[in-house]
Amino acid sequence: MIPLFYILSICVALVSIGIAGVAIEKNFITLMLAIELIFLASTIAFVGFFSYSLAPNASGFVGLITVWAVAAVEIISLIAIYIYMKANGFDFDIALLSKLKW
Amino acid sequence: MIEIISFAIVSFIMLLSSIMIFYQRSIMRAVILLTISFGSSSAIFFILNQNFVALLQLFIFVGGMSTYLIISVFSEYKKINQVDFVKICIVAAVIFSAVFLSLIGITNNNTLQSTNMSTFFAYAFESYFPLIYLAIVMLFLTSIGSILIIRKYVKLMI
Repeated sequence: MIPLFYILSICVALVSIGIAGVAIEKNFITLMLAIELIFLASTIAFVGFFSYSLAPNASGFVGLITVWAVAAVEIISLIAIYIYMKANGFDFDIALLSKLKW
Repeated sequence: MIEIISFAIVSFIMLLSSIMIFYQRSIMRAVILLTISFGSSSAIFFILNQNFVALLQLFIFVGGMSTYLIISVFSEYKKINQVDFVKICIVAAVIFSAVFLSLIGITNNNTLQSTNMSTFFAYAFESYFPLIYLAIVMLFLTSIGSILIIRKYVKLMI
């Protein structure tokens, strides 16, 4: 029997890796991969809380669908914005934002 | 016991591939490592008796990963500058140790319920139909609009 504590520990580890990647990474696409890790942790937390709840209902499933939709929209819209700004000559260097980073 | 051993192996693979994303200099390899991470999460759902969600997870993230792979093939950043991997590990460890303290109060009294998420599939689509429909319409419109923008401007880029 897997305790809920283990699953939440995995989620916390994934979220911390993702936040560290967002805080330090300087490449745009790798930064989006870090955001994907945070979404992955949220889906595991949803399914974990659903699996261990004594009175489960449909709201966990709806939350899961919402996370999936947001993740899919985020991928394609960010890439479109990236290509749009590259084509229009905007300098989209993430390293320029390094004053906000460490 | 077998469940805990398999869970430990799968979660170790998932965390290792997740942290190794930031060590790679090639975006293609980073995306393949992220794919391994998603596959491991699907295996975790299988261990938790949520077979339906595991299948859906694989289905949905095929699209996202293929988008990343196409972008990594066409991107000019095929070789990226490697950031300080040790710094990422240290920051991740600090954040983990800070958030992990909040989990200590959770005891191991919780037992795994045999409820499968697929039993709520029809109920969720009946009762939350407007929200789910809105989410799917948003997904569809954003994808189509983004592809139109890419088609318009990608000639200038490549």
